[in-house]
Amino acid sequence: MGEVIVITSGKGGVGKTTTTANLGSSLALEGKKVALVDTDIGLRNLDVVMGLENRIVYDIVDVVEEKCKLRQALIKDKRFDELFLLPAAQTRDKSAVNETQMKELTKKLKEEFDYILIDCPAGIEQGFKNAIAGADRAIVVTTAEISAIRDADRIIGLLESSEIKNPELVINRLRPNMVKKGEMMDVEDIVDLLSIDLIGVVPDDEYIITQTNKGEPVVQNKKAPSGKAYKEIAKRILGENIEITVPGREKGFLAKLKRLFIKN
Amino acid sequence: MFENIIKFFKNIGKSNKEAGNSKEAAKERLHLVLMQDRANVSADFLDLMKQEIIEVIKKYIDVDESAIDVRLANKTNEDGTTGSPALYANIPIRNIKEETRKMQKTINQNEDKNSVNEKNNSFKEQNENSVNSNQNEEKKEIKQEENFQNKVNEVEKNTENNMQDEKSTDIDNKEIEQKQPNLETVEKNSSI
Repeated sequence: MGEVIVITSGKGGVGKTTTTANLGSSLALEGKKVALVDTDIGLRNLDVVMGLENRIVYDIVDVVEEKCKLRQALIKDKRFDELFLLPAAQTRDKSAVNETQMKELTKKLKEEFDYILIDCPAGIEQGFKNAIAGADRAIVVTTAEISAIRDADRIIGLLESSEIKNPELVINRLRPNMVKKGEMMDVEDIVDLLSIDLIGVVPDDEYIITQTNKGEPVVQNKKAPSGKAYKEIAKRILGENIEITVPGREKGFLAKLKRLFIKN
Repeated sequence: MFENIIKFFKNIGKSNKEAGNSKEAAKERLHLVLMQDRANVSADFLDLMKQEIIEVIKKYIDVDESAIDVRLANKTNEDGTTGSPALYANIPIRNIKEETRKMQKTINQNEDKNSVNEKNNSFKEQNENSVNSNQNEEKKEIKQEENFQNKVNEVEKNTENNMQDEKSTDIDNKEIEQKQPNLETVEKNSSI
């Protein structure tokens, strides 16, 4: 029986789709059978980020309206044998799917896959409600910006009032240099304000853009620090207890000691 | 030339200070905004808290329950901007309960007796019996208050979980109903 994880943020443009694509790829790298579901009906993008836009025949609305079988709509990834994408419809809107249908869909997917990652649309309306309907677990993505953190807080409130408890936080696009200068909120500041568990910090790097340009997940590029961060998060999703790498901060005992002295 | 060097160093100092402020400013502003957002979102928590407040107040004073107005509002700063959220409660009083006045009397008496005890140790044993009986009543009251305190804590915890958990609110309501008879018995005791 698989686990359904919704990736959400409230605010748009903080990296939900990129996070979904890369966590999915990382989990597939770990040998898990993974399905990515794009629920951003009308504004689908997970297909282009994954580089699978040319292979779409059927979409999530076709499945829900029983115009095709679930298996027919699932697109197999180019790189990983055990990674599949269920694309959103581009010519419909969020009301084309309802919460009961989403629950049924995720239930079916759970039978076949280890992990089902749901890419949630921005906002708190029907699209959001659909996306979280069948989810067992939630990952909230935010950046260090005021607007993104505020929206994340709202989303956390809504998640906790639903059936999903203990959402986990991904801080995306952190710029270590700005944090050092005191020009950007620190990881601790954000975790403190939102008071939920942190599952990973992804640094802002140019590889995200160049890889996405090519339709390749950034985890494919071994040089990319952001790719490493996503691989780490995937391991934590699988239950491995590894220390969270904060970009721009050295790991290990000595570094910790150093930080302690500098702070005091 | 020399001036330029001084200017350069001054600018370094300035830019660092301004940069430091930007992070702190963001933190402060977010803290306020999040408080306002959270307070506005959970209407359920306000209803529950209102109920709890009424239960406590009813022990001491007669209030017009239908006219009670409890709400969260934002304070207005001196410069007209909205400040931190504040809890406003408007509770019209019908009457101060007879028991409350009696309680006040017994407390006063106890204090008098205690002061006498300090002077005359020989009377201590006799007085202690009567003081004990009075103290028992007070203890009951205190316990009752502690219960409410616990429940208020529960409410706070629940609001952190954003209060939509219907099961827990149901339990809370039941607890309130169960406490009602207890309350009355205590009041009877104290009037005796």
